[in-house]
Amino acid sequence: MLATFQFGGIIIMRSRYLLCMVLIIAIISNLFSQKIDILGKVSNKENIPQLGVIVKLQAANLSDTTGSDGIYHLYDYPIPNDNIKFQDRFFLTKLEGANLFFAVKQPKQLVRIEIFDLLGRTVETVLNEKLLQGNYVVNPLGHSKSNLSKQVLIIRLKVGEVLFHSKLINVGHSMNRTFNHYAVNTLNPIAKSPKGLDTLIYLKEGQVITSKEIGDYIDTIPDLFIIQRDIYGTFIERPKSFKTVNAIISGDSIPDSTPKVAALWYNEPNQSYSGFVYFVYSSQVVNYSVHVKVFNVDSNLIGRSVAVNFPSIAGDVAIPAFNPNNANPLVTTRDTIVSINDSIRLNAFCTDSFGGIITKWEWSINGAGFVKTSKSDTIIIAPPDSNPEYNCMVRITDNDGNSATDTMKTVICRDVPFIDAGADTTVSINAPVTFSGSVTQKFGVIKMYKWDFNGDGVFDDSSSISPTVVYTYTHEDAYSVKFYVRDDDRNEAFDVRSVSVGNNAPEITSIRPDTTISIQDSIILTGTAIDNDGSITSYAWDFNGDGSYEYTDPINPTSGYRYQSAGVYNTAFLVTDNDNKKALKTVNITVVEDIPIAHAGNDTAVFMNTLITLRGTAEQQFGTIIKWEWSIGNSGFKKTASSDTTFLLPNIDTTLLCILRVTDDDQNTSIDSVNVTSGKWDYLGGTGISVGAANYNSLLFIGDTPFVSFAESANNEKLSVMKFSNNKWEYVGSSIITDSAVKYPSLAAYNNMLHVGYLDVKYNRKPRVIKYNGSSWEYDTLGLSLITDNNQWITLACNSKRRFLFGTCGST
Amino acid sequence: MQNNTGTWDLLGSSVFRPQGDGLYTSLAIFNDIPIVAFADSIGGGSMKASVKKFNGTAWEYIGTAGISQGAIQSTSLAVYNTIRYLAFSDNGYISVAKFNGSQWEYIGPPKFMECPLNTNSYLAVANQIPYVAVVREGKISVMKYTNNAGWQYFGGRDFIQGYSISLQASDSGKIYIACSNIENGNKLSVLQLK
Repeated sequence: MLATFQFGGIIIMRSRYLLCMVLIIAIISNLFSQKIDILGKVSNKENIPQLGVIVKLQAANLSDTTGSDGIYHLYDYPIPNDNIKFQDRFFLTKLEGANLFFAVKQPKQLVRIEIFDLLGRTVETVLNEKLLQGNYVVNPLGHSKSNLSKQVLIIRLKVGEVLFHSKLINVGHSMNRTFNHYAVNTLNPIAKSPKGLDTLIYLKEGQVITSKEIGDYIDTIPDLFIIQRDIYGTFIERPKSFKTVNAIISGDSIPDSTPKVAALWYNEPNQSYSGFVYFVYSSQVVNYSVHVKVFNVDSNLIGRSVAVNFPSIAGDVAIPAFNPNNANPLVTTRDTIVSINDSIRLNAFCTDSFGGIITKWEWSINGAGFVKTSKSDTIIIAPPDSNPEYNCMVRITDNDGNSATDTMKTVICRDVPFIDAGADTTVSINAPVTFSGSVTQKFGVIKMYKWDFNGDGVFDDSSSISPTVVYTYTHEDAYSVKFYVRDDDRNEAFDVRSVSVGNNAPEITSIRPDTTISIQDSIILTGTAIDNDGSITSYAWDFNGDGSYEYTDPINPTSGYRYQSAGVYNTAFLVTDNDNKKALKTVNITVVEDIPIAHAGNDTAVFMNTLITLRGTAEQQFGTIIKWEWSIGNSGFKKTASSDTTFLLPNIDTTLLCILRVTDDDQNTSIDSVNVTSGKWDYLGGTGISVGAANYNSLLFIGDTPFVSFAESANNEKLSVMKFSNNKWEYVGSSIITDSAVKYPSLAAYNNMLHVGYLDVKYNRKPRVIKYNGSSWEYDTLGLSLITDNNQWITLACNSKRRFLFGTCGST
Repeated sequence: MQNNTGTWDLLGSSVFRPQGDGLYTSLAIFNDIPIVAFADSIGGGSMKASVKKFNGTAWEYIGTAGISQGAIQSTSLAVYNTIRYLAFSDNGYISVAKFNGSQWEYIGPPKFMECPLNTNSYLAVANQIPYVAVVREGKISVMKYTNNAGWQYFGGRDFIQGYSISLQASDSGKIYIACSNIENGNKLSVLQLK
């Protein structure tokens, strides 16, 4: 039984880069011997067939190359997968050549085939019967009962209620009747999902343009377009061991995991490359990214360009010039210095280009050959007796198979410790000596310290911890002291210092500090001393620094002393041991007179006939005041029990000179005096008599009664006169006497009658006299015409008989 | 001028000395006769202190003209019983003199008290004891003279801050002083020694 399938389509491309490919694929399979028959054509957009396009049916391992007609044909090959069976299909009704293809889709339907001429007249009824379900191929003319001449006829097919009309050209030949029925099988699952049947792959110039599973297109074949793009660029240097250069393209329709790879041509003389890449055309703009990879003869990546983005509709793609040898990984190391037996970590800093990874690390230690390590660094042990320098090489390899190397120099030193036993020194017998050696070492630790104190070659002390030790020499001699250390690498070091042990002078360990005292003060002079190699036999003091020691004692170093005169004394302390070796130190004793300073107090005035206490004080740096004396007036000094003295002032006004004399414990004396006035001014009737400020005050007594006149500022400098009576001040007459301001009022009494002469400001400072008649004030007649204006000053004087007014008129 | 009849009469010439004599004047009455002290530009010359009395017709010197050692800046006359006293400031010092009937003689040393120039002197006499008051730098002092002690401060030096002072003795011989009291708002104060 035979089943036939046909697919077809035409697309015309506009660009010269576009090819129009018309595919006509026919797969003809027999249910019992299914075979492939695919026919296709590749054209450009101008419908020009494309030559040299290789089309492969992958699983079937069939291939064909388009010829000058652009046609390829894959056929007569069993479907490789026996489980795959094509689905049977009803024929489409069509007239092809002399054969009419049609299908009966119902189990049993009436089929009527008629032939008409162009006038509609029935020429012949070819078939009119119920047929079984299936496909049929009929040669209607072969069924014609008449011998039809060459003419144009109309054939009508009616299957059930479905009609089909077509022109039928009778070529005038009689044909054998053929009527073939093909049964239609039931549908099977493979036919419903034919993917995996096989894949068509289109290649040009070794580049896969596209691939499609043929199962997708059993019924229909979509139009397919491809785009050709130029890719080119140059290398900045010649590739090393060049093999190929490829363009790697990915983009919207090409995943990064499966990029399109296009082999490019390398033009060695000018270090350039170029080539094409083909894409399936899409009416939408597709963005792509391309970079170029260079491979060596071992097919290892040795260089890579930067990625360049470009859209599908753009023109050529220019790759920036790049180094075709830039794909090697980078590795760096650093030289180091270590000590023998130390663990050395050899560390390499590795990076790979373009996001690659390092897949292998190898180290070669001092030319011993590379040994693979699990990571970039490795640890070795510096041997004790080997080359002082190791050349350690690291080699790394990346995932592209590229490798890089670097060499580091490891200097292995013995790192002998540098030690110092200390400076030469001189010590005393029996004096503990501290030996503290110093050790300097760059690596490692000291494991042993040893000291040979007397230079006999035998170490007297050893320690694994401390280089410090205390030793006491008991014999006078010069010793060579050896200091020895050993480190953890068994490196050893020595140093020697000299120690001279002798009989030394005693040492004064303390002495009284410089001191300032007063004459006659006692001072304790003391000090301490030691003698490490003997005993002290004498302590001596030279108090005044004249070289003569006034105090000597074999046991007691302390002496008291009183300096009799002021000065600075360089007092010496001399200590002598049993070997008559001496130690001397001095101290400055400053002796001052320290005269006391007496303070009798400030001058004062006190009411007569009252008790007064004078309080004296005194200042002194050292010592104490032992005697206080006061002289009051001419009484002479009298000792007082304390610094104070109390006495009764006389009932007369007088000034007493009161003298204080103090005496200190060194019999130094000092005096100070204070004037005490017996008689103190006391306010009469209060501190303020006037209302406001008073001016031109004039005081007058009539008998023992005081009167006072003044210009009262509270009353615009008008005249007031007051009288002190009954222990209070009261106004004489009214508080305001004049009607204008007054200047230079003078108060006088004429026959016990109060008079005031003054200059009247209101009348241009002319003099006026006003008098009190016992009840009121009245102006005295004055020949004002005789007195000029603007008097400077005036005064009034009266007695019981006369009144005199004296003043300056103008400037006379 | 004098008045003893209800009218005021001019004694002598109204201008008894050339210009300048009227400076630093003081007035007192001695035996009903007015006496005047002043800075004398002629008699004593050099503005020294001189004292004149009115003899009924004219003014005449009491003693010699020019009592002070130098130019004066103040005078203060006082009369006690039959003795005329004169205090004056003499080029920065205070001096006190009395007229012994024929001449002026200093009481105590001349220039016994230092004071600023232009310091006024105020004189009072009680029981034949002269007292003189001055204001120095706003502070008042009173000194008294006794034959035993000479000039001594009376009631203490600078006992109060004041100005515009008036020194007087009561009839019983007590000394009082009136002043404008700086310590009390320049109000009038009267003080006596106790």
